[in-house]
Amino acid sequence: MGVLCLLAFRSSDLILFQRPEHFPAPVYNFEHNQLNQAEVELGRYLFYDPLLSADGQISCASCHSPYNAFAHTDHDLSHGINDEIGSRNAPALFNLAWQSSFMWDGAINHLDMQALAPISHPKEMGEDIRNVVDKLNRERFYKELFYGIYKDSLATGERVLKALSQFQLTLVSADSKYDRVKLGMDTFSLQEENGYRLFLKNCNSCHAEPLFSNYQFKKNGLKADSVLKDYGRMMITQNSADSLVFKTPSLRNLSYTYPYMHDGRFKNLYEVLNHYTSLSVKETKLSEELKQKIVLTNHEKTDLVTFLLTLNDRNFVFNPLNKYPNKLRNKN
Amino acid sequence: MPLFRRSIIVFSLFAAPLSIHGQGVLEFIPSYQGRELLLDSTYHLGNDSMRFEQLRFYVSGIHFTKEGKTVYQFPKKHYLLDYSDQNSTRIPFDVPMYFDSLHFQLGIDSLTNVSGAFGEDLDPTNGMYWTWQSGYINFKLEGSCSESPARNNQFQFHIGGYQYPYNTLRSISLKASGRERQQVVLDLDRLFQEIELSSEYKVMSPNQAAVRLADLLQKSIVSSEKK
Ligand code: HEC
Ligand code: HEC
Repeated sequence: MGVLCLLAFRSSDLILFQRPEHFPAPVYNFEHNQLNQAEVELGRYLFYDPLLSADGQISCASCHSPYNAFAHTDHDLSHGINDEIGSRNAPALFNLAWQSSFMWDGAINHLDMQALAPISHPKEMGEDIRNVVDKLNRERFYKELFYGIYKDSLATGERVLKALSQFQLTLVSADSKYDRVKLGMDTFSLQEENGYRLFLKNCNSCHAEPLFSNYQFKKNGLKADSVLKDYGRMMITQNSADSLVFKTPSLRNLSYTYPYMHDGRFKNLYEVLNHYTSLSVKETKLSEELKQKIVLTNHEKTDLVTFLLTLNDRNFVFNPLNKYPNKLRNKN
Repeated sequence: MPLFRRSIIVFSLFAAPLSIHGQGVLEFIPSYQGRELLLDSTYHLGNDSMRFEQLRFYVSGIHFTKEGKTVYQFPKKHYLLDYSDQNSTRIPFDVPMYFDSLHFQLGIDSLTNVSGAFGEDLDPTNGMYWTWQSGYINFKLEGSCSESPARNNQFQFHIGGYQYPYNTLRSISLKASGRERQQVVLDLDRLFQEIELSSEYKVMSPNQAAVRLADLLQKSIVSSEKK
């Protein structure tokens, strides 16, 4: 029953969104924004259209590339309009329907409202949602799409935001080797099995399977960068206890989403593991889950990384339905 | 009060629709220097000058009660009042048989704040939604004042915040014995009595200053009716 309610179809034979069997119920309220094929497609055009930026050069995909599980790998910090450099690493985008807060510090409380942030950010798209809507209302391509969906051709802020959500909600990554093992369709190698055991012991308390994050705000012991001075969650709550607290990211698709952490400071997974094993457990700036010293031999590190690689989801990363829509190229 | 002189004009404007079908109109009137505020005109106070350029705010859950029981609920849950669009500041209603009080909230409730995108009055294209951090701006007042040390002597008050401890939604209840025409006055003289513009000229995010201003706004909203 639960699963059936959540089915939405992209066309008669394509499922738009389905809760994977081994996943919990999503938190996104689909009743407020019911998925349908035309709106998902509209959201996909918007996601890839640089019209959303002030100079017509930057699209959402400029920083969130499908081939990087919608993260960005060329830069540690995001690059936006006029080559402006932001202060954070662009996170991967998938399984957003299971997230209740967005951004590294949870500044955004709902997926629908997220797009306002990059659209308005002077170092990202430098635009204003009102102008975006005006521009869309001048383009025949979009007027027709809007008419097809809403029976009137008017673009509004609400429609634009909900369509962007619709596309992003379809970005479900649940077809990695790990998932197939969970569903009884594959088996781990001995090394992967050992890595899985080490993962459950040391990492699962925050990076909880099957989403590989509990999406909670935690301190994992990174020191503040002396230039960026990014104190994370504290900037939102203005509570000093939240200094250096960041949202726990998912560990799916790590091969595609390097560099790692909110400022992209680690280039590979060994650097990440060395961070965790070198933490001083007396450190007051650590969440409870890390107060037990993590000890890993070099062999164990290799095993743990081997397990993490089973969370790569090639079918998601190369899914043609998520790619740049060719019709956009010919729209004018 | 000069306000009443003006309300006669308003009355004649609305006289025609008022006489049919028991249609009423609820007006929100900002007053400054004892009379209805005019945007984009310069006020002089001794050596100082003051100018208001933008005034917009949300009013939610408007209803009338009689002896504590709700007798009429306004059709829309949220209204965006924008003083550059006079129509938005006069809200029509079906006059209930009896009522003794008017109730509403200044701002947007927390549930709406966490429920994603909405259209019309709540559409983010209205410029009443923060972009870098989720949440509606409940109340926006911008202008300039010679006392303000900011660039172009600006002052900007964007009051919002829906989460403890910076919740800025305020409930307001007023006596309302009238019939077709209800007037609510936002007394900016009272508000600015409590604001030291030389130091307090910019509030742009949910914080302690926003909470203080929300409290002041609550006290500055009065009924035009004589007690
Ligand atoms: C200039 C690069 C850039 C552009 C353009 C950009 N983003 Fe982002 N995106 C980022 C960065 C950096 C973050 C993390 C921001 C933070 O934590 O403050 C982010 C965060 C996000 C998140 C939150 C993910 C999470 O797990 O919390 C979503 C969703 C998202 N972006 C979608 C979009 C959409 C939709 C667009 C287009 C409207 C867009 N982005 C445009 C760089 C960009
Ligand atoms: C206390 C909870 C907690 C535990 C336990 C924990 N992490 Fe993390 N992890 C986090 C947080 C929070 C971040 C984001 C930190 C930041 O960017 O400031 C993070 C980030 C990461 C990242 C970067 C992901 C990306 O997309 O940038 C990797 C990889 C990672 N952790 C792996 C691990 C591994 C492997 C373990 C076990 C050895 C582990 N973590 C244990 C909380 C935790």
